[in-house]
Amino acid sequence: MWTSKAIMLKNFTIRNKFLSQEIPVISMITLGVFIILSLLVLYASLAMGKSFLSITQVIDALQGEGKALNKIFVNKLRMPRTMLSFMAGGMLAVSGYFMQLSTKNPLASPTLTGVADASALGAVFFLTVYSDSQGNMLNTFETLPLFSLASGMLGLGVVLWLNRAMQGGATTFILIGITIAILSKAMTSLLMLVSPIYRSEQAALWLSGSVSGANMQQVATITPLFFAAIFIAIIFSRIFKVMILSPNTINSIGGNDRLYNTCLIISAGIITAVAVSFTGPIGFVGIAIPHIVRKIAPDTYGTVKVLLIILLGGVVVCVGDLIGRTIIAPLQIPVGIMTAIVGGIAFLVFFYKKGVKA
Amino acid sequence: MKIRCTHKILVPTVLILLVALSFYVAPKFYPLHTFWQILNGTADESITEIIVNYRGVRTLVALLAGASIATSGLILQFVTRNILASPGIMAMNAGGSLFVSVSFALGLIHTSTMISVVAIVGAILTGVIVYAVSYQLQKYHGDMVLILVGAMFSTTFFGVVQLMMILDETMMAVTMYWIFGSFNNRPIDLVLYNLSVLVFILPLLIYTRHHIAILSLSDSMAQSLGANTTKLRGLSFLIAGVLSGIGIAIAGPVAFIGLLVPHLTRIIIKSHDFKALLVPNIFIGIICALSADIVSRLLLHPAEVSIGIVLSFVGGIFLLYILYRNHVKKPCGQVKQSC
Repeated sequence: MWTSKAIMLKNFTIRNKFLSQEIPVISMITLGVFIILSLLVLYASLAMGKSFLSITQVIDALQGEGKALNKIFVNKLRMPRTMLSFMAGGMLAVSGYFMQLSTKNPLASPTLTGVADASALGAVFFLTVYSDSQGNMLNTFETLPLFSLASGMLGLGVVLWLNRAMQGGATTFILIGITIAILSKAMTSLLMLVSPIYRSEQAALWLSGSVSGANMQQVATITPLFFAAIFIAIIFSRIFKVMILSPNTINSIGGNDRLYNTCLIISAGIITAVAVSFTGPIGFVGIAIPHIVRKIAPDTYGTVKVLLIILLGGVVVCVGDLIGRTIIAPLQIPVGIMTAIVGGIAFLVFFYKKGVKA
Repeated sequence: MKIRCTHKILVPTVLILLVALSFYVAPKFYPLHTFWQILNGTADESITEIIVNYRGVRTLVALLAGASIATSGLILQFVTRNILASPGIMAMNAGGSLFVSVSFALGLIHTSTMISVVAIVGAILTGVIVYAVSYQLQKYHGDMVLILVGAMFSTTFFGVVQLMMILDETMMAVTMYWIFGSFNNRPIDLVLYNLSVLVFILPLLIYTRHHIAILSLSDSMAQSLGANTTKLRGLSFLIAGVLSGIGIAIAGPVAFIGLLVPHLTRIIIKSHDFKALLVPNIFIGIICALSADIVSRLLLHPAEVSIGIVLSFVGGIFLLYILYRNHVKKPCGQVKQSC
C-alpha cells in the first residue's frame, strides 16, 4: 500500500482571499479516480435498463439525435432518475458529514437524527394539503422543498433542544433522533391514510426512499440547490480540520465553536430537507459515506474530502438504484430498501470494529 | 409491596368496560338492544356473525397479545437489566416477521400452527443475537447500545420483508400485515393454538419468577445467591421469546407495548420487584392493547388506522419521557443500571 509520503512529490497550493489550501498529490489523484468513477456510473445508469445502449448511442440521444426509442429511454426515463439519485445521494452524504462534524458524533446522520423522516413528513403534508381528490397538484413543485425544510428543521430543533434539556451525550442524541424518526414515520403513515396521494409506490417512497417517480421538473428544482450545497461545502471546508478539536481549543486558536456548529448543523438540515423532499428518506448514505471516504483517503482533508464525499454518495445511491431497477426487472426495488438492507449490516460491522478498538 | 385497594377495584372495572367497548365500537355501531337479542338468540344471523366471530375474536386477540407482549417486555427488562429492552426494540418483532414471511414465500407454511412455531423461533433467535452483540459492545458504548443494535437489525429485517413484498405482489396483503401488525381478522384456530401455548408456558413463568427477580441483581450477586446465571438467562430468554412469538403470531409486529407497559406498571405500582410487577403488568398490558385497538378503530372513523401507528405515537412520546426521566435524575448523562 502506498502511503501518501512515498508518493508525495509536490503539494498543490491554492492561496487567495477565500481559499487557502495545500492539497497533496495523492488527494488530487483520488479525486480524479472518483470523478472517472462517477462518470462511468452515470453512463452505466443511462445505458442500462431494458435495452443496453453503447456510449455513442447515449451521447447521440443526449444531443437529440439517433433513434426515437433511445431518446425516450435516455432523456425521458433514465435521465431524471440518474440525476436525481446522484444529486440526492451526494447531498445526503455531505449533510451526514456536516452533522458528524458538528455534533462530534460518528453516528450522526440524516436518518438517525430524525431529520430525514421529519423532512419526508413535511413533503407528505405538502402533497396532502395541495392536492385535490383526483391527486392533481394545486401548487407548484418548487415550493415542496420549503415545506420539507420547515418540517425537517423543526424536527432537528426538537432533537437538539431535548438533547440539551437532558444533558445527554452522543448516544442519547441518537436515541432522541430515532424516537423523533419513529414519530415522524407514524405521522407520515397517518397523513397518507387520509390523503388522496396514497398509493403503494408512493408509500414506499415516503417511508423508505425511492427515485422511481423522478421527473425533469424535480431535477430542475434540485439542480441549483445541489450546486449551492457544493458551494457551501467548499466555503466551509476551511473549518473542517478545526472541528475535530474540543470547543475550548477551537475558541483559543481564534475560532468560534458555536458559530461553526450552528452553521454546519443548519446547512446540514437544509441540504437533507432538499434532498429528501423528492426522494424520501434514503438511509445509510449519510452515515456511511464519510466513514468510507475516511478509510479510502485518510490523508485527504478540506475541499477535496468534501468533494470525494459528494461524489461517492452520488455513486452509491445511483448504483443502488441501478441495481434495484435492473436486477429483477421489470420489478423495481426502491433504493431506500436496498440501502436499508445493506446499511444495517454495514453499520453493525462498523460499530463492532469501533467498539473493539475503543 | 401491597397493591392498593383502589387499583384492585379500578383495574377490573376498566378492563370490563374496555372489553364491552371493543364489542360495541367498530366501523359500525349497533344499537344496544341488538346485544340483548344476540344473547337471546333472536338477532339477525349476520349481525351475530359480526359481533361474535369478528369482534369477539378481535377482542380475544387483543387480550392475548397485550398480556404476552407486556410480560415478554417485563422479563427482558429484568434479564438484560436494561430499561429499554423489549421485543420491539430488540428486533424480536422484526425477526419473527422476517421468519414468517420468508416461510410463507418458500411455501413452508401449511397450517396456522406453523406460523406460531416459526414466529417463536425467529423471535428467540433474533433476541439472542441482538443481546449477544450489544452485550459485547456495552463495555465501550454503555447499555444504550442495545437500542442501536436492535434498530439496525430491525431496519435490515424489515427491509428484507419489504423486498419480498416487491418480489411477489401476490404476497402483498400477507407482507403488509407482517410489517404493520393488526388485531383484525385473525384465524380463530391460530388464536386458540396460541392460547394453549400461553397456558403451557404460564406455569414455567410462575416457577421461574423468583429466578428472574434474582437475575435483576448483578451477575456476581446472583451467583453468590447460588443461581446458575447462564442457565437462568437462557431459560428466561426462552420464556420471553415464546411470549413475544405468541404476540407476533397472532397480532404481527406490534411495537411499543412491550416497552411501554412495564414502565407504566412501575409508575402505577411504585415497585421494582419482579414478582410484585408480574400480574399488574399483565392487566395493564391488556388494557393498553385493548384501548389502542379501540382508538385505532375510532381515530379516522369509518376508516381504520393500523394499530402500529397509534402505538408509535404514544410509545414514541413515552420513550422520550423515559429517556428524560433517566437523564435528568443523573446530570452526568449516565443511565440507571438496573430497572
